[in-house]
Amino acid sequence: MNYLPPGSYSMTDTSLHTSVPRTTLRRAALALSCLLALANVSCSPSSDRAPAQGSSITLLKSSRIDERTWSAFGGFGQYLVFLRLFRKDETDEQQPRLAERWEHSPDYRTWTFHLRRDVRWHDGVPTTAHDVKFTLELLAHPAVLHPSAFVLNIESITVLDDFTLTITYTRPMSLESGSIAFYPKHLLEDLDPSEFFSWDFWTDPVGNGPYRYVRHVPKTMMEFEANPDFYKGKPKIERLVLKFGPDAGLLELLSGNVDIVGIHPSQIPGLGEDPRFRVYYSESNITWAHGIFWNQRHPLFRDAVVRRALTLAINRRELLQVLNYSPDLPIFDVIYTRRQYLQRQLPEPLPYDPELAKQLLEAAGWQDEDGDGVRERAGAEARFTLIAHRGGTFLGERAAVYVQDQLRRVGIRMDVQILDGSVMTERVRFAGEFDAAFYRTPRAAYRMLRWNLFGEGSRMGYHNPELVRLLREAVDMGADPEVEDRIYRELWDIFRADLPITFIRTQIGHVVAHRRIRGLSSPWRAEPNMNMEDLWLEDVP
Amino acid sequence: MRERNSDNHSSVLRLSLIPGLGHLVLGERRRGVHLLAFAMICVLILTSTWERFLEAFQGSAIDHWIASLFLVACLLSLSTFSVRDVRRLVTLGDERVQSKSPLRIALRRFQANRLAVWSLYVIGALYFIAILTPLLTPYDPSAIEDVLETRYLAPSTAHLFGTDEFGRDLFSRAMYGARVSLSIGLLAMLIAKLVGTTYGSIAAYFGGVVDNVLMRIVDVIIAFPTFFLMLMLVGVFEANLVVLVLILGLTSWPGTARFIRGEILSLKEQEFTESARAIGLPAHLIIVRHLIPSALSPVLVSAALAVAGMIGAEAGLSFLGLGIRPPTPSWGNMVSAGSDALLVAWWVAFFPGALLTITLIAFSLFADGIRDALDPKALMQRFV
Amino acid sequence: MGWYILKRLLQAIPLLLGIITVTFFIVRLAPGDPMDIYLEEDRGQIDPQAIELLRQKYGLDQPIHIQYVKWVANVARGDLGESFRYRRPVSQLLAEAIPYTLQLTILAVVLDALIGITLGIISAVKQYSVLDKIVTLGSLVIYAIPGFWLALMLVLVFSVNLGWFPTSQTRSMDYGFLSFSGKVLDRLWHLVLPVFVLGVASAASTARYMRNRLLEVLNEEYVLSARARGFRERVVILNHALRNALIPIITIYGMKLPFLLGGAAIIESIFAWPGMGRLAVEAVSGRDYPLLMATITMGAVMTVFGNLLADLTYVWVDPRVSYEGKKQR
Repeated sequence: MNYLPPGSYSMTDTSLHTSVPRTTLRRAALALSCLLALANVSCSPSSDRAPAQGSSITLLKSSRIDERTWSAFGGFGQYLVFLRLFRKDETDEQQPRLAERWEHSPDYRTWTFHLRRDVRWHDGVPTTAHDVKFTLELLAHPAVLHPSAFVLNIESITVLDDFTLTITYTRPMSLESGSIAFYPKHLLEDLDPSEFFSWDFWTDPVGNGPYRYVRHVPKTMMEFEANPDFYKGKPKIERLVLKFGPDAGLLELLSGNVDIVGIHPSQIPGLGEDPRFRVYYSESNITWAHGIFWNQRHPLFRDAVVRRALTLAINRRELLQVLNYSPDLPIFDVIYTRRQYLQRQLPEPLPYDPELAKQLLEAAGWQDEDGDGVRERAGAEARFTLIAHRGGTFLGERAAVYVQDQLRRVGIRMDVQILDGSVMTERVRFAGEFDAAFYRTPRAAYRMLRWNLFGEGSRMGYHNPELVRLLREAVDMGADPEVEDRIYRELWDIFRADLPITFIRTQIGHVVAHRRIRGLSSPWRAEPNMNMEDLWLEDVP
Repeated sequence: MRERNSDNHSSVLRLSLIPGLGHLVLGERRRGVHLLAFAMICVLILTSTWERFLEAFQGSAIDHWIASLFLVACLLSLSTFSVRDVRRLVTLGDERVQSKSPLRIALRRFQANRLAVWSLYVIGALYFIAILTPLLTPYDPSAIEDVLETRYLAPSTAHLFGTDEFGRDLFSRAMYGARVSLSIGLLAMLIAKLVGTTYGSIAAYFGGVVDNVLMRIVDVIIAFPTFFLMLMLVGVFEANLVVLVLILGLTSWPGTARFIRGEILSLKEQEFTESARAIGLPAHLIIVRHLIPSALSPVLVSAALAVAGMIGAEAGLSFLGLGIRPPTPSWGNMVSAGSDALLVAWWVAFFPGALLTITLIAFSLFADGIRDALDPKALMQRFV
Repeated sequence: MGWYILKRLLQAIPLLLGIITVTFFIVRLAPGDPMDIYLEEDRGQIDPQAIELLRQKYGLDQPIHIQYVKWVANVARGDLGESFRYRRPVSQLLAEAIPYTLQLTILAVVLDALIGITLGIISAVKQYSVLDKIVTLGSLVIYAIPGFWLALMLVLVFSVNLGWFPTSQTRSMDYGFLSFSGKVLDRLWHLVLPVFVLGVASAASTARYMRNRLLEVLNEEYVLSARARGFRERVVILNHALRNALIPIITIYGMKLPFLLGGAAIIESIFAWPGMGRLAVEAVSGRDYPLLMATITMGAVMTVFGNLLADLTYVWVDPRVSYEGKKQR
């Protein structure tokens, strides 16, 4: 069967010679370079330029971020190259940026923005209200559709003069969803919006922010330089390199390849005691309070005493340490105003007291009669499933593992199910299909109302008319911080009595930076991309 | 030996109630030592875990129950086997050596392959340990105690594999992980083989259009890189243990289906099938009769390889965070957790992965052993 | 030959149709509305009208059979939809990623062929020698090692402890400033670990296969007769046996492609390699359905064409197989 005709025996015919001829080698080398060139098609032409002199730092960004969309729909580079109308400051307050000031109608549907007059695009053309209108209309174009309420809910835009415009929305709007970069009309108005995502503009963007785009080596790095015409003056760090790296960027940092890395707190132990680096944490997003949502339709959580017992049973201080969070974080049981949180005027939280927790559970009728370590009442086991995200900014697997063990010690059996973000949102916020969940609640009253956490038909099975009334009052009268504080203090009592949510922390990010980079500080100025224009370098011995 | 009186018989039989002793007396050293060693291990486990053994019958944890019962069952069946085997030896005498059924020959050939035998031991030991996990683990796999003091402890006598980020004992966790990984592998393999065999038989039995349609479907599924298909399914459906087993099993059957169909079709065309049909015997009976011996070896080999494949796939998915998710330990997600801590604690990723590797090697050596034993040649091409 | 290729291509069409059908329906069976997944947190706030527009944009406003027909038609035109996450055409994303995956897999195949075939030959020629035993056993062992673990351990030893190779990525930071040869070296340097991990397991199976094939061929009549005619052993092996043993290897490489692609999914994730496998993993964990459908489909399409290529090469190389004969397979 495997017989080969005799004619093909000859030596010349075989493909496998004992010595490989030169030409073959050369051909192989050629093939290899072709292979490498495969993935190198779009190397920027200016890539042979020598690195700029002067102060320069390198930041690592997860390469999961698509390198081009940064200029279209958010991402890191956008903060550097483009200005937004306003920007959150270190204390979570929206501060003027491209917009100098703004006012809104009482129903929050009509907003008027007054723009700065000294902002110029990197090509020298002034940034005007026409650019803002153009961008908003562009993003709402059927071929683009930026999925943000700030864009999609627009009813009309009126440009009052070159630096003033009024936007009317179909429903009440908040600045929270207004985190949008604006693009130069004069460069883009003739382009076809249906080709939006393929515009060459995104590979060579012209912005109006503190940094200018210099070049891009695909899948590797992107370079920026300080904009000398920036309205606040030229940033002190002259050159920025954004390196696209692996998700776990610690190795890059330790090997000295980069200066700043945003990391997940689970990686902090990997830094050891390395004196070159400092860890910063940012609490600037106190808009969100993370905790365990107890679904009160579950028989175990119906009773406020049980919720209190569960809160007492979890050593939240140690949990935060286990997750490598800073020991400075406050433990809290209530929702807060910005001022209350920033000034740490929060009521004393429930302590960690597993013995008291056990007593409360006993008193509530949950007893372990069959000795299997799990309490029961009327034949039903004290058992539930906690759903959680895989991680990221949310409390994830790690926290779940810890809480599971803590509750086991007081005779409560907790199963854990890890879900994707979209499924979590669906189950917790819209379907209410959960026993308990690691989730987050907005801090602001109007948002809590919109989420309908505590109103009729609450997805957590917790309907408290008094709470809803107070939230409404806070929305109506909240313009005065003193009043807002007072109403929230009334809310505290309800939260502390009912404990619908056991809070664990606010939203926190971690950054590791080389010591020579100054201007960062925990917790309010730890986000390099928000503060890049204010950072400087100092030589360290 | 035949001349031995019945007194002598019964004393040997009584002696062999302690597994292996009877064999040793009769001069069957190999088997005797094995049985005795196995029994000793069981007894050792039983005595050293006596309290936990008893606890099983008070609590309600099913796995604990199973573990304890399994241990008892092991001892009982060892004794029974030992007695029966000794009885057989005594009554058969020298005739036992003569048996020459193909299965015996294969068995002997398998036994001659030391690596294969050892890998069988390893596999056996892994499953044995996996079942007994609740009795054997030195620590509670999920208990967290003074995390900040106990986290990331290097391997030591107290913690053979060290501890992880929560100070949990990795040795205990790896044992629980073994249970998850090994059972997933076995179950998914069974599903795949069952579905594949049924599907292939249906296609071959009906033939014609049905066969054509069914096999085109197989073509389509085979065209997907299996791991991609699994990825897509775990992405689309929320993967818990059951769903994961189904996904693994239901993406891996087409190879078996193709093979079984081919076997049946070729049998259909054989002369003896024709002649059987001529004398009025139903063809499918003949086919089944011949199918089993001819397909046995490839199916066994591919089953052993499939278990390894499934365990590997599960580990891969869990490593990517898409399969078994914490806090349930599986080797894959343990390695994944360890990869975060590679710089501080290499052992977290090392040990579960090493166990996984040993398991996969054992399965592939075992498969190799069966292949050589059942059919030393010719099968090679089918299963590379 | 031309006719044969055409025929094979035509035969592949129903297969491709089946592939895109399967991906479409599996993803559409997923619980939940894709639009909810797309909007996530914002979904409670956006105007229903605007959501309707978004639905239209992604074609989700139509009944499922229409969506299916459109999907097939779009794929045929090369339009794979727009990624939820990146908000860019999926075809662009794939076009960027596939070269990286090809780089990895092709080099892995080259490595596989170099190591696998060589060791297979040596081990067959020196059957029962110590080397043979090492190769046979070693190939089994190496084949069994899970790639992700091997990758982690290699990174630990060679990147973290010894610092010989980069931990991840396709090129260094200063890549732009390197000379041409520097660039090539830099890229190769980054390829070492991922290609090794991907290729070595595959090489193990090749070595085993090669050994067994060659042993079989060495027992064939014509080889025995060549020996009998007094050819030197080396000539017998190189000229007569090897050719015949090598030809079926081509088919094996066709069959290996799906495994390599699957392996690439994990290896790329570990080494932050911006290829297709990583894209697929990201699509899964981010529930980016358009991207998911497209990457999985592409994986299958590449497998089909890989097999086709292997078959064609086989026909081309092996004079004994006629085009007509191949059709029966």
